[in-house]
Amino acid sequence: MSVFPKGDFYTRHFQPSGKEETLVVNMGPQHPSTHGVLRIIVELDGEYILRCEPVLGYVHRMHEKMGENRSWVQYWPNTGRVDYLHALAWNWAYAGAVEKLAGIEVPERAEYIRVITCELNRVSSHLLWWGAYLLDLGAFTPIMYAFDDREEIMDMLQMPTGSRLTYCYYRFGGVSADLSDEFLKRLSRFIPYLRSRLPMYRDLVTENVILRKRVEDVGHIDEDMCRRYGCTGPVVRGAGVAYDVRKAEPYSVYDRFDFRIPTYPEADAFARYMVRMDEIEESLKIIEQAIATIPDGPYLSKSAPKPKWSAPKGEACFAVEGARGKITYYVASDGGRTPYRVKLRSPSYCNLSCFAEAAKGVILADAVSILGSLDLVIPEIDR
Amino acid sequence: MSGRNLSFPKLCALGGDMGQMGIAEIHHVRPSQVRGAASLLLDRGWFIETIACLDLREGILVNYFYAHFTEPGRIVVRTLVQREEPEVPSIADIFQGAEWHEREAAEMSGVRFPGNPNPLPLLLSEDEESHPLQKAFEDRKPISNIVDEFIKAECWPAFISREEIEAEAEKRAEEAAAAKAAADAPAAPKAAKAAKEAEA
Repeated sequence: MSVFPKGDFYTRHFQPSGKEETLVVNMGPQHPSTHGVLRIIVELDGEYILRCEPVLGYVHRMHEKMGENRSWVQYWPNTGRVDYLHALAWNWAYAGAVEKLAGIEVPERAEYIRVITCELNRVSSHLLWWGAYLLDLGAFTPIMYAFDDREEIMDMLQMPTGSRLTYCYYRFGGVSADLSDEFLKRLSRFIPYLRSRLPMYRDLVTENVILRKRVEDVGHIDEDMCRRYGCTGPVVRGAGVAYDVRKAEPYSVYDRFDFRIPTYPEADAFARYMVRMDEIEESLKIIEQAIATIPDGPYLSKSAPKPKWSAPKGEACFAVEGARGKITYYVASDGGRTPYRVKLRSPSYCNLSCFAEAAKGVILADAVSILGSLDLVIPEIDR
Repeated sequence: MSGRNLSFPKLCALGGDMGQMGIAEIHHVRPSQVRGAASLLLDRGWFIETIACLDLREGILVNYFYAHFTEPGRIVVRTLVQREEPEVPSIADIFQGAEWHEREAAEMSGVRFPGNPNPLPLLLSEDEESHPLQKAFEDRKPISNIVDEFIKAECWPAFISREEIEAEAEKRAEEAAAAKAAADAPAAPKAAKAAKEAEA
């Protein structure tokens, strides 16, 4: 008998269901397949999961409270650190919410710049997910290819944004720097290059029977479940629902581009995999159109707020489509120096909440496959 | 818009403009009517986006954000709870995803959700007793400081007028001054004594 109580707070609350021969196992928080510090308490019957419960909060940074004690402009760097893989979408959601609240106009060129950089960031996010997901499933080579291509995107995004990962590039009323001709030239060379790589990815991985066996018919998350849990993004599109904020509530200049929403009705991990692979192509299509039609003009509005600016009173909500789903910012202002309330709706948080139901009764190895197919970014869940 | 005609028991529906503020409709309900609203919205195919609490002078405002997979727009159902008894019935059996949103709101803002199947802390440490998103008294603003149009008696049963707010703030300041004076009073003779000793 130890003097210390057995287990910790969460394991004590997660008691075995009383069935014989079951085992309670902690998966994480330092498990390689959880991509960060996510912990899942699993009750196993042999290899099958009886029930499980995610435990969050290991990288909780309280972005919402930080919003309440920083000025509107000072909060910018926080937005890039919520989801480090698709940081520009979070930048955009904050920009959109405050622009809506204060009625700030965005020049047309800035809208195009936002579309180009955000879609490029989405491609890099999907590439990293692709590599890391296959790493979970036991394939080592793909992540090398994915990082090779992603490296090029990061080099390109470094030119206008000045950083490689946690971008803080958008501003109220535009962006902080114009796209250089060199960037646009390099980007127009990159698109055909990545397009030529995609068939190779398909032949190497997507058509591979070993992958198919791991992802097909695994982790059913259907439309009804998506609704009850609030799952969005590739998860809901993998359940056959063509829900994409870029089409459902067209923001910015997305209504000018021709692209489709890939949907797959199978609702399994393979459907979610295919949605993301197709989205890379759709994003390239959007970027191509945006480069061809980008107008000249200022990249930052003349009436863009100065550093000590504060928003007028009111409340506003703005949603964008991130790589993982619907990102919503809700901001409330009393006209003071700092926001009165900032609320972040993160898609990974809602997508993960359905995991306990989706993983019930599957083999532990399949749970890893389901977890990867949700494309989780832990800092975005914990905020 | 068609298909949105939502009729659930509520105090009133006021405000909201999709283009201006990104919220199409705002429904004010009593805490006991939250569940009715949630089950109707689920029947009509709405999904829950998030729950956001605002700490106001009048109490804690709990906002439920709903969106739809095929219809445009966003619906907010909001209810005001008193700080002495911050309880809203849980909707976790209607929208299973709300369980986590409720747990987050509970630990951040101190609202209780009776009926939540797993009311443990989610993001904060398990022995954390404070609620980080609750504001200090002087930072709490009345709803009229944030929006104009919601000040309508049937919508806002806990309406507080500006005079009442000023009177309350004055009373608080007086109490604080009195407490400070009381704290300083015993210190004064001691200081005098110390000065006397120094002189000697």
